[in-house]
Amino acid sequence: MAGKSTASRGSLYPLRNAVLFTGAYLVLSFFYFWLSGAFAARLARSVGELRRLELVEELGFVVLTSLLLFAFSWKYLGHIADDIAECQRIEEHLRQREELFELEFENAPLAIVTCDLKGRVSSANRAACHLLGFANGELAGLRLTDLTHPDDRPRSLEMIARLARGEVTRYTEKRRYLRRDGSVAHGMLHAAVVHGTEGESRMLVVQVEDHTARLEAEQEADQLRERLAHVGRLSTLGEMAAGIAHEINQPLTAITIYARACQRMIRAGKTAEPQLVEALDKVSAQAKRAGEVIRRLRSLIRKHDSHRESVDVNELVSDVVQLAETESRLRGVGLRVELEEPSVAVVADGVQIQQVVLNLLRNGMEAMEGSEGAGDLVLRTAVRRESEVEVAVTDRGTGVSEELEEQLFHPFVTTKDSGMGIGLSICRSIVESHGGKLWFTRNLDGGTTFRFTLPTAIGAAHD
Amino acid sequence: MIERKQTVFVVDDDEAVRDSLALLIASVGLEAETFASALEFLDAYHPDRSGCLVLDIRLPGMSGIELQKRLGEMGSILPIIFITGHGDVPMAVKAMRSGAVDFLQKPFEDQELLDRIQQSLAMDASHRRELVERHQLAERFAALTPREREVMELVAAGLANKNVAGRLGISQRTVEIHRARVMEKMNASSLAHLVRMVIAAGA
Repeated sequence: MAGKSTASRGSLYPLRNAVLFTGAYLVLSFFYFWLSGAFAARLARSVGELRRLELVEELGFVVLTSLLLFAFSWKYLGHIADDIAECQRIEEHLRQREELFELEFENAPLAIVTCDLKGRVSSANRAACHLLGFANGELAGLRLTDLTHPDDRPRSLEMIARLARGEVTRYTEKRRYLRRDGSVAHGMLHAAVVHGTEGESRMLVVQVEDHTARLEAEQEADQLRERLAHVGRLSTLGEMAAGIAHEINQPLTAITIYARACQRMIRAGKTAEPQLVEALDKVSAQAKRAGEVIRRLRSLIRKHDSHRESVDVNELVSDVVQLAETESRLRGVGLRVELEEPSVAVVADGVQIQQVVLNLLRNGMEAMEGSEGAGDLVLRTAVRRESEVEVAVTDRGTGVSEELEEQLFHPFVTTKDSGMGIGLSICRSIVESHGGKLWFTRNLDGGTTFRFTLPTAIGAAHD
Repeated sequence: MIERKQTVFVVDDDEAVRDSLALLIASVGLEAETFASALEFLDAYHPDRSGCLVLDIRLPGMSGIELQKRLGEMGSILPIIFITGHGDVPMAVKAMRSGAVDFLQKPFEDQELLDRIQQSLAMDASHRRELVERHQLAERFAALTPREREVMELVAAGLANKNVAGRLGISQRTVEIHRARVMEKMNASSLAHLVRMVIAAGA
């Protein structure tokens, strides 16, 4: 018999045999006793009347039936013994399998929880207890939803209900859990419903991949990058201090002169009111202009928590171009900006992207400084595909030498007298953390073009 | 040509600074014209226009210093007041060496700028007057005959008519006639005036 059917029928088979055997034995022994009784009665009644032959026949019958009975019993008793041995073997096999399964379940690296259709835990393995910060066995009877992070609870409730109703048979999604100590565990949840023999939903099996450590490591890396980026911004702005001072000084100068002119006009008593109002409007416009410079500056200087939001690429770039323009004037480098319209949105940390643009612009200016009449430094934005936007800074400078090329993106490599040489390496890490790429190409007509791409808000949503 | 209207030319790439300077200059009753770049100014420049130039030292394209040099090459006498930002002192010194009237560092006092402008305008006016006088003098000299010039030089050297006549071998009467013609042609009101003119022409 095949192993599988033995296992499935193993518990019933010997019992049925035993019942059959017992029945047959009872019937046969009834006949035997009846025949032996009849025979004995006849023998007692008419010992002398019977002929010898008849006696032998009747004796023979009794012996034959006894022999048959014996043989029958022998055969079926053997079967029963075999069946009992088989049954024991199957039981042992099942026990071993169950033990193995329990070991596997207990020691699986994946957190596994089984629960009823209402999400009440019936069993949980060690990894599950560990993930949720409970001791082994403590999870049984708790509701899975109560262990879920409050923000994810409604979703958890909804999905368990849908599983129970049979609307879905399995699903996989990110889920946060609350540990017993209140900390948050991050996981990837795989839930499935287990069906009974009639096709009805019987229980839920929930498996959770623990992503907490990975997420924490990623967060740590993000924080490190943000700190480094901040240092980079401060150092860049430090180098730009002269230009920035100039940029603030211009509106202040204008304000002072406007105010003095107004005073003079009033004192001379030869002014018309509209003229004064116009001048005062200009004063406030200039104050706003100085404020704008400071606002841009502050957003770059501030140590901020990295957060991503949907931002317009052209706006982002224009904002930083204004900071760079002063410097381009001071360095005597023409700056041309070509923004593709309509602009697109990217999901990004605006300040960090501005930092990248500013860095590339300043590198370009430095490469071009002193090479007069070579043309302008050009900043372009271009939507490459629906899912990607490119920002390119093309200079007409001295170019990147072969030997520098390999190390260009390494930190602390610099060709400049000032600066730490972390600019490009920070830029690349910022762009890559946004899911983009940063690289450079040599222009056919001299100079270098640095480009970077960013996924657009549409492209990011598709990921 | 003398005492024509004077103009303050303002060249600054920052629109607000330019505009506010124009207002300030207008507030004291002066005429101002503004330009966003050196080239724009050069396009409008005419050597006969009197005034002064208020010039930002740093300009995109042609810088203030380069404009000063170019104007010098063109023989311009327009006085230049430079306006500088932070840290431009070495450039300003260079500008001063090249003949700028003054430089003011932003932000500056309005009175200071207006004083400089007034000085520069006065300077330009007298400069131009001088030029005109010198020009007129040259014309008058050119109108004299060789004999009249000889007479004039000797008279201006302090010789009496008699001595002049002796020196030139002509009659005293003739000297007197020449002298009267010289005084008339040179538009001299007195002998002292004539002497001054001869000295100025010789200088």
